[in-house]
Amino acid sequence: MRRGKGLQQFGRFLFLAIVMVLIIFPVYWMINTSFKSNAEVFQRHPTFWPHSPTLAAYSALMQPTGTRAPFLQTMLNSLIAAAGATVLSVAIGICAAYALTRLRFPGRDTFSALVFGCYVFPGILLFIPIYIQFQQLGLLDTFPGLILAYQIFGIPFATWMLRSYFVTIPSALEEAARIDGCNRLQSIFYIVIPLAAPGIAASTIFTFTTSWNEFLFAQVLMQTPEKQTAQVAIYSLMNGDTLPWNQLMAASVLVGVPVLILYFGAQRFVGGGLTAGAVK
Amino acid sequence: MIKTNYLYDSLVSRRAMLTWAGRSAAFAAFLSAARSLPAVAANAPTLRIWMGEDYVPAWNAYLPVMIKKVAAELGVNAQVELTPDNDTGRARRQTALESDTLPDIIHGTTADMAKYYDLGKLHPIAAEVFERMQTTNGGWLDNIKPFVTASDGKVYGVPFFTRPWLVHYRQDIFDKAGIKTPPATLDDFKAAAKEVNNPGDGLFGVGMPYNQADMDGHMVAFPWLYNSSWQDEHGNLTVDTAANLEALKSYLWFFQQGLTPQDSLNWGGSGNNNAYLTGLAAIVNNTGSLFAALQRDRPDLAEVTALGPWPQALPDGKPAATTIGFCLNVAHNSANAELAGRFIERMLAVENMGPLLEAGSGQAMPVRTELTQIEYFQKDPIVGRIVRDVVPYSRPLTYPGPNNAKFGDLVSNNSPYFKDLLHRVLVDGVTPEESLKQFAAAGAELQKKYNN
Amino acid sequence: MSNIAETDGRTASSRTDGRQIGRYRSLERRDIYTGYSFLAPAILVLAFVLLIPLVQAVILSFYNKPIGATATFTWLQNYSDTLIDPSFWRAAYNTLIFVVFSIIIKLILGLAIALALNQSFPGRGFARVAVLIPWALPEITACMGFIWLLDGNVGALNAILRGFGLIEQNVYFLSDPKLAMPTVIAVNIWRGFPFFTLTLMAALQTIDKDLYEAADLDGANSWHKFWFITLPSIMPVLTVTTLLSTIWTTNSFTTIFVLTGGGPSDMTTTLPIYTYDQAFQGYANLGRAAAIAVIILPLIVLMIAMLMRVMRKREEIEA
Repeated sequence: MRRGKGLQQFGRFLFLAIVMVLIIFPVYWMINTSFKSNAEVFQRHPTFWPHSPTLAAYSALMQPTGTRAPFLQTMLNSLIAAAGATVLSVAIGICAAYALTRLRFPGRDTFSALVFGCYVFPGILLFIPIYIQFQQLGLLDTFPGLILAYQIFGIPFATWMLRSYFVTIPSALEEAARIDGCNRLQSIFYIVIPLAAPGIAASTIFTFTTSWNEFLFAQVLMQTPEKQTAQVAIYSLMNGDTLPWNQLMAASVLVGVPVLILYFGAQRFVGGGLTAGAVK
Repeated sequence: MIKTNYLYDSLVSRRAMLTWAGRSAAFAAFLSAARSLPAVAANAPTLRIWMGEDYVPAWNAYLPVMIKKVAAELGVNAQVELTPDNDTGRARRQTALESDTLPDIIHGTTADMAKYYDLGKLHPIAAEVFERMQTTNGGWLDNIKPFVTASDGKVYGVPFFTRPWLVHYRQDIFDKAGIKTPPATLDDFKAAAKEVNNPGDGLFGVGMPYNQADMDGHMVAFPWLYNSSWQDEHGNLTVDTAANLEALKSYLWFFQQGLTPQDSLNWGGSGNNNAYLTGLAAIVNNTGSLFAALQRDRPDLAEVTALGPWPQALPDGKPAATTIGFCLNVAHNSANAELAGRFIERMLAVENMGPLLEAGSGQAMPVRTELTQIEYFQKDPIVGRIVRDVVPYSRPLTYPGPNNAKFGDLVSNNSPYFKDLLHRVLVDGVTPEESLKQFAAAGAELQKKYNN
Repeated sequence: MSNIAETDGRTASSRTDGRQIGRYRSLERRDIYTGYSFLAPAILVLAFVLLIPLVQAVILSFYNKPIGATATFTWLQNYSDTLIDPSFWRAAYNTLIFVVFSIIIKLILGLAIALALNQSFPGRGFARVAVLIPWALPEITACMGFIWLLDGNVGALNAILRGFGLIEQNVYFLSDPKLAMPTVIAVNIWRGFPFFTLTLMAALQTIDKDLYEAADLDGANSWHKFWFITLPSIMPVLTVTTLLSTIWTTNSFTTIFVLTGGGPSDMTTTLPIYTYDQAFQGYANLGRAAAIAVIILPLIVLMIAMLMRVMRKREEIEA
């Protein structure tokens, strides 16, 4: 019995070790490439450790070119857009989720389904009508415009996620508060929101990273170099005929690091967040 | 057999290469010092200008400076933007087209301009400017007008510069194999590629692309080598012909013989550049972007690279130099069309355009007689020879016919139709004859679409 | 204050909290008013950025709309063109292959890893965190990395495989007609399995350990325990996760677009890529692309409906 168990342990360990390698190696390779000089990148036989590590790629990114702002500035733009979109989505999502779980009114279930359906609609077709609409309203190349566009997936996602958290909070607590004299708004602020804090945190993190990673709308709606987001800046590094691989990898690393930190730092919430609605 | 001996005997020597690089650097330094320009009055008219990002940093640095200089001269407020040559830049232009918000002055290839013209987005002022400039300072080069002439015979863009495609040869590899480069005929070219082809050792004879990108330097020109073309001089498509079938088979031959890396099926614009830069391919055809990258990233290879046009004698004895044309246009709904026209004229003045061409280090070729005479072209050994020996024989992609939108759609860079033409044979196993017929059918569809 | 009337503790509470049966009183009107006003911001914003463009897109599908040109009304032409286009069916088939293989492998792999991580062992904390990485990395970042890694000429993977003697000649992962689709599926799996792992890990945590002990006493082996205890317990979570992942995978665009652009030929062209091509590549007809999206829509709606039904049923069970 013990030997069988030992074998099982070993098997599991080996399996996980292989999985870890498969996960980590691509990331390692990206980081590795970002520290190489262009000449070394274009050698026939790839080197697993840069022969002459250099920060050339990173420093090149920090310079503005004719079509691209310094990369840090584009990251700031991403931050503004993502943070703004997240705040708006979560705020609206809290209201909507509350309405869908606590209040009874005709059409509630339909709204529920509709809101969720919005989330899964492919964005590819929406961006031309939105471009034209925004252009007529003067919302192009503005952060409010982009933040508004991000509500397309932001609100449904936040609503859906928060809804599953709100459902787990017994209404008895709220009713007790109301009996004690709170009105509805107070009970929301003092009871529901604190109890749903993990869910709100999870929604915030997910909405933020989805907005941070978003590419299509950022490319279409923010067009001047000063306003570009980091994802678009990465893609625009692929200019014409020659791809500066080390810069591409460096930019990818820079864009990925904040997201990874966010996820790791909030891993508690993330584990719970992903299961919201899936597990009670 | 006509010997095409333009740049063949001159290798790019290390000194020449350093001169180029040094020149660019010195130039950039000079320009940053010259950045302070007089401010323009607050209520001056505004011109929105979109130019294209290029591969040479010095060009990208000088272009906005030059434009501001002209703006100061004319008392105009110029808002300049450089749009990149990638999906982002293309998307931006497409959405501007779609919402009818093209800038006052927009720069693009002559294929782009054909399309915008066809969609009614361009202002006719370009024709006036063209005529005016024909009579000043020696006028345009002889072979320039076809680049910017549409199927109705009218000029719709003001030529800005041209960019020939050049075949790059690894002189060191061919020397070692005892092959004289560059080859004089297409058959010699094929034989040379085959001779040095050694995939086991990581060397392919040629880096030929078989995807959407770079087709304007390859599939467009191949019919020329068989005395044929994709459209006739009146702008009617002439796709399904015996000579074109020969050209197609000839082009496919390189892939089928394993002379080109197999992932050329998937290459983007940088695929063939990368192949040459990593020493994977001994021959690659590309515009100056490859050469710029060589100088920057692989000077050792730049040193042993020879340049030349497509190797085939043509009846008139001239080389087949595929050339992309770039021009400047005015949007049809520009509020300052006449001003834009004058602005363009000033941009092309020798005191403004000359330094820009020099900053381009050979990535941009002149379109006016006086510009061919600037000191840079007189003195520089490599670029000077290109100007003298290749530029006069530059042919627009639409040769021998006029520029028109359907042709542009069918054969321009990033044309999915060429990709389909090639992949149908190489991936789906269709015969070349059948694939060519389908390509012709697609062309006919486009013809219908644009004649509606 | 004004709510003191609700002193009996029973209010019109949320139906999903099935423990209390609502009693409608004058409260109900207030509820409706409150409900709509809370929902209003969401509805307004979504109407503006989603509903209106959606309607515009549907209207567009009845027109011929090349970029930059004026639209011409063609009624159902776009729809008929699409349905008789062999490329459309090819794209549908490719999508089916892509989704089915991706989901099955993501499920099995995600479950296996979740099971493996379900017990303590040294390094478990690190592994649980590392498993997040493919999910957390931005899509473009991951795809750029893989393009570089998988390059047929200078990529690291080829170098490694040759170094281990597993291959003689370089493999062209993304441009070989036979390998392109499996490669794209593999990248999608790499990015997507953590979603399964994470949700299933949490689900596994909620299984009562006593059940396993009881099974041990009855002489069950590992397989029995898995099949009769573990799997049924996580089935609700598994279903929801699978459906969600299926919807996302079906809509997946950026990954394939960046990796192969749909090529070589149309080997990896799925429906979203096909739609994009019709809209923006040489073919450039926005109306046609809108029609394709409208055709695909029922499929997505069907999956969403299934998802909602499963979720609703579970909520009722748990009540």
